[in-house]
Amino acid sequence: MTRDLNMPDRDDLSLEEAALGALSPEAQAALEARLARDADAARELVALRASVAAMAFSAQPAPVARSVDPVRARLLARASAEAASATRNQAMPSASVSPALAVSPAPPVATPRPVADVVPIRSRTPWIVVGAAVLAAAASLLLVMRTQVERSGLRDRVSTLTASQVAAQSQLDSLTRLLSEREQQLASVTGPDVAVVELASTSALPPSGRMFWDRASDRWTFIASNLPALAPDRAFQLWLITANERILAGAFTADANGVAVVRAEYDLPRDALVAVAVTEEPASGVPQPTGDIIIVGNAPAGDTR
Amino acid sequence: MPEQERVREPRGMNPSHGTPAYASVTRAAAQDLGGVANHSDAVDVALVMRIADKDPDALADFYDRWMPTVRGLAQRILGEAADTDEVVEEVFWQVWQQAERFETARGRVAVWLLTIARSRSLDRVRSRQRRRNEVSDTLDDGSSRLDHMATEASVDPGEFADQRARVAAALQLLPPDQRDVVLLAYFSGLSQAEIAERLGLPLGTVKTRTRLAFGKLRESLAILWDDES
Repeated sequence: MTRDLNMPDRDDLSLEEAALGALSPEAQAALEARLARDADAARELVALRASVAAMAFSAQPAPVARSVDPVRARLLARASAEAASATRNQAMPSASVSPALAVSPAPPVATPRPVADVVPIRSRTPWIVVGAAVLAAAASLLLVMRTQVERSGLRDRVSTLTASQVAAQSQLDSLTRLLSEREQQLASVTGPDVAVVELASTSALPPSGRMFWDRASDRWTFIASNLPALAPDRAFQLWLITANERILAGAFTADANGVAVVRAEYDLPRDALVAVAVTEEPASGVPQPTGDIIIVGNAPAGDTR
Repeated sequence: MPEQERVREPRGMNPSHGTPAYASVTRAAAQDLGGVANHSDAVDVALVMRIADKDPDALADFYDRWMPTVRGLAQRILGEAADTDEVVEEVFWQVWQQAERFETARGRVAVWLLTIARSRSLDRVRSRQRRRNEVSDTLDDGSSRLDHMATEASVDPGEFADQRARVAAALQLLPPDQRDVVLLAYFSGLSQAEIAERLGLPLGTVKTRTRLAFGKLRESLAILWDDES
């Protein structure tokens, strides 16, 4: 495969800077010209922008109670005012919007005509023609107003139906996913090839846990009870311990009753598991265990079933 | 390769109680669980469609859903400045004004919104700098503060808790030198040349670290956006 020599290397594209919005206007223009010819680079930029945007989630959220949020009140007042104004404008079209009612500007007159040449329209047009014109104008006005209202109503209906369809599809997806999760959960603890490792406390505390390892599907289901309450900046981490490494299987906190369930998928050789342990760590997470062991359980030698 | 980069993690972790697990996942897992991202985005798309039709109730729902995240981002960039409120209002007013121009084919609502939020926040910092003709405190932090920035998003039970936990874990798993570069670029809006000057590094080194870091983040965070690219 040969490279297009007219295209700069990927290294010269500065896609990361583009995703961060840090390119100069000249560099941005050059990049956009390149992206128009390079679909791969354009796709990569979209993905990078998504990764950049995700960084926002690393900032601590700053909620404000609705009742004391002045921004919310101001924002909604502005929006409501604008929406009301737009509705009024739609319902009452101005003369310039309707060609039928438009008042034509006076045509430029190159040479002023003598006043004597101006004949009053009333004297030249029968009154019935004027009346018909007025009626036609009124009918046109009514027709335009009715059409605008109908169009607005139809747009609202389309919007509502579309939103309902999206919401219904989302609900269906959610229920389907939930059903699948429940079926997997059941199979993970009752399957014919499920190994069970009991975990018990190493201190006077009473927490306990049980790990179900469905070796046929590589699914792990961990259920713990009587876990101690943690400080807000702490979390539990679950580890699969082999002879060579400690593998992070998940981070979690327990509910108010000290109960937690963690599910994971991980392909581990049948004879590799030495033990399963839970440690207490900083909530931000650690790649290797550093804190106190809360519960630990050794995998039985051979068939752990 | 540092030890922490070799950490292997199971996929599809899904605690039923407490807060979700936050470890990064593989691309395969992202595709398996893509429905989660789709569901969240469908909610946003439906709201933005109604906002485009000038429905104030939809704006209220959208605001309630995203305000804590947008305000948190603005506070992180602006510091605890009083003008955070103004920036938050600008962000959601821009959503109200430009919703009809949003195209689902060009990306997710969340990416669109958070890009607006970051841009308006950085605009405000730069405007403030021009007015005061001095370096803002928020841009004057040394890299010693960056570790705190990387890990401050502790696990929380609110909206988008899963996203917060995953991003925090993904950042935590980056080598510190790559993480510093990413955080300076994102939260301080520094160019790569400015970062090189700030950290006393060759520009090429900064470029390499940025590329490596975002490559890893893209892989780790694919599940957030159901990234199929």
